[in-house]
Amino acid sequence: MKNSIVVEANELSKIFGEGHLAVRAVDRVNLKIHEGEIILIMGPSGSGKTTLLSILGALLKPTDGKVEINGIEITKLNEGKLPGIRVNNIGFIFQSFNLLSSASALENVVFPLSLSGKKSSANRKRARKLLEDLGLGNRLNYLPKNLSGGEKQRVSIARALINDPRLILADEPTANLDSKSGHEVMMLLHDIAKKQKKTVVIVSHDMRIMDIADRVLQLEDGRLVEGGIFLVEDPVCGMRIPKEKAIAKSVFEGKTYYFCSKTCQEKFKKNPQIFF
Amino acid sequence: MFSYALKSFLQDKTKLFIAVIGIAFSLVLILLIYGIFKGTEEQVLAYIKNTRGDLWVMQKGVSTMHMSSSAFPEFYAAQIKKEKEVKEVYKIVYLNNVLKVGGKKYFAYFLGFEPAKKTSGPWKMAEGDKNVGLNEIIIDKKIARESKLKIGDSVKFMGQSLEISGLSEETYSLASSYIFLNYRKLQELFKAEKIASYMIVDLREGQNPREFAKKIKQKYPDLNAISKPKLMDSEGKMIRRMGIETIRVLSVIAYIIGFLVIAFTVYTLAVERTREFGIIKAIGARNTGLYAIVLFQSLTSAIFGLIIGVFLSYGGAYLIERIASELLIIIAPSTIVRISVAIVLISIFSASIPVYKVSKVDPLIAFRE
Repeated sequence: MKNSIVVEANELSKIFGEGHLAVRAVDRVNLKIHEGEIILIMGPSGSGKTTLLSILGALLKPTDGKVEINGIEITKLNEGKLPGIRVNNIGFIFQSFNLLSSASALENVVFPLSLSGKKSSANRKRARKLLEDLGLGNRLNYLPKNLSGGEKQRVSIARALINDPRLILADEPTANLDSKSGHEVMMLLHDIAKKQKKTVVIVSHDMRIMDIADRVLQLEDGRLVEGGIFLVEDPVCGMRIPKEKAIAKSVFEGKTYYFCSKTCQEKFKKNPQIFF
Repeated sequence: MFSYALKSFLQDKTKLFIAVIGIAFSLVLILLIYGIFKGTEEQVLAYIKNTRGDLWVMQKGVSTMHMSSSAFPEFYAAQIKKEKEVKEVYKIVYLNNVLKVGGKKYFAYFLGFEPAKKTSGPWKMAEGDKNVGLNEIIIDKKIARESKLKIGDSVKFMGQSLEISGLSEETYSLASSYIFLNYRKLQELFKAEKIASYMIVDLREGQNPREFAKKIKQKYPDLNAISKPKLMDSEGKMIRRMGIETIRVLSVIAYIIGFLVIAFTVYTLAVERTREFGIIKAIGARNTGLYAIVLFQSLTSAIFGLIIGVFLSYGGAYLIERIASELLIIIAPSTIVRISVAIVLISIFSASIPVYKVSKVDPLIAFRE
């Protein structure tokens, strides 16, 4: 059974400016994203990635079209209701971490609880646990200025998760990190989606994120390239490849498997069981 | 939210210091101005306050002691003394004049009292006796010290030489001092024999001063009679009227300074934190929450400023009184409460400028590098 839909966008458009100065930043985008799915939105600068993310995050009203988050049509809601949608349904992860400079790591994570009215000792404990799980147990009372880039981004991830939203929106989450920290953050996002069943939408130029994404959506001039790219994992070498660009495929026990090369396919055919 | 508001406010200690000190000095300015006027009022009222008596009788048409002249035949004292409600009557002669001693001029209230009825003379003596003789004078100990005078020395007043018989205390002030003479002597110097300025009436127990005042006014059409509390009240009002414009102007200046300091600090804080406010909005804060942060910071600076300002005011008053001993500064708790309320209201009002700024913050700022 397919997981339930968390995000649905229909004919979504955003036009900035008027008349001959009008720029169509997002152009008739249709999108369905399921629970536990990781979506990577890629595209050149100015293609409308961040605008699309802002609309999905209830931060920007589209010019046309509708967006549903958890079945709530957010495009219908007035400005006064949107903060409540953001704080309870969406977790944000930003490129430059955006932690509150005067607050400690723990206070940064607890902060959204005060916005959602869920600030309780149990939730404070949960914030502490989240940070400990992210390897920041010894950094709870550190101010952001005393944390490394990777640590800051982990605090930011904990903050995004504290209100237990179904949707996580991440804007270039690895851009300001070294490759090791970037990889750690990628794996965290992967675990969040797969173990906690969160829907993760990532906007990034970082090709490495394709390794964890279920789908890659290519945005060009505000339009999604038809169908997007579905990524599949070669069961032999573990490489993630676009489904339609797979060199070979085989059916085993009623399920189709995709391979990056004929060699992998041959190895699989000889003894499929060893690859599970 | 408030924890964030406080922490972010405390983070920039220089700004906090400037805001708090600015507010504190506004408060010091206002409190000291009020304190000086209150002290002056207290000094001017000192004689009435410290003199026994339930009722003051004066010439008709006169209703205060200071800034007034009252004169009536002294035989009225004997008549009033005969009233059944009256226990005692003290006559005084009172005039404003200047005492020149040691090359200095002292503007003073000269009070001629009947030494036999000591109660209408100086209320506190530093040295000597209240029993002032015909050719004697009692001056304040500060005048004596400044002029290097002592008991037994002579001073000249209205062309006559008078011997200092005593030194009084609490009778020296910026506005004026009290100097005491023999009742008959002051009449003589004044060329006003058998003329009194005021009568202080001590009533028998259980008598109502207001009722008796009515009776006096009806029975003696040349006289006016006022109970002691009423006289003090009208004296106080007169003094406040004299100084109120100055107080108003200086207070408005101080309030404007306070307003600008708070508004500027909270505004710059809001401007510097535009990005953070954007982030907070992005993750789900409502504008009302951000207004609360700004208001909280504004109120916090006002409260810190008030606390420091009150301490500085008391310290400043103490220092000023030590340097300028003629000054009495009274910082009344009621004045602190009144001004604190005004400053808190100002801080709320001054938050409106940054609140406007914050309401315009675009949460999309969070996505910018």
